[in-house]
Amino acid sequence: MKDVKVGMTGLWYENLWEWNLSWRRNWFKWEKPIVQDLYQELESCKPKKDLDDIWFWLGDRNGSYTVKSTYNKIRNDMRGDNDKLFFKLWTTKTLPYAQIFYWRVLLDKLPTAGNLVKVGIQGINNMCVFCQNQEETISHLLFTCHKVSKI
Amino acid sequence: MCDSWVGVHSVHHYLPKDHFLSFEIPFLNSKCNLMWNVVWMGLVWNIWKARNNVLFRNKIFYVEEVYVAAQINTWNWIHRN
Repeated sequence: MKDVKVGMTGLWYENLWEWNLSWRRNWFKWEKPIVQDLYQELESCKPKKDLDDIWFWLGDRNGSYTVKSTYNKIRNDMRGDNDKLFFKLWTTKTLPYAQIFYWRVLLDKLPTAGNLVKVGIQGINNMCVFCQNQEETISHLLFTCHKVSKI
Repeated sequence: MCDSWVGVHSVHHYLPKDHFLSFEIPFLNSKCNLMWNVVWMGLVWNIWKARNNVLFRNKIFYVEEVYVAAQINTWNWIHRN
């Protein structure tokens, strides 16, 4: 569907809203679960009859958007277990480019073979380069691989 | 191997986060532990480098080599500060 408003995607039966989505093409097999999810999500949203549409910002109680409320929301989402970890990372004195590297290690964002396969790159061997025995994930490569764990 | 530098033996975590957080020596003061973090970083850095050397330059992996390289690296970084 293109250029369609919410009001055109369903019908009122008495006071019950029923979604009626029309699609421009058939779904691929991998899309079906996503569509299922979408319907499930739509199930939980109940439009109100005879009310105008409005924008509502969930991060603030009265629904209007402020930068401050966004900042607070992000801060709160980030707060928690990782505080100590990253404090330890950034207070350790090494070279900046090395620190960025460890930051990626800790977040598991290094291009290990296992990660490359996960994002859909094909035709590579995802086995650990040292032991050729297990998938090359960050924790295997650095710590649990039996060739490395001697260190 | 590197536990033997300071004569400690500990069980290590396998997730990078936990491993890094628990990489601490209880009886050292915080300044020394800051340096000990650098040791962790030297090791990780060099293991990753060794992995790339094996993969892209067809080198052979020797644990001892990585171990020594990590030591040198660590010393360099500590001396910088």
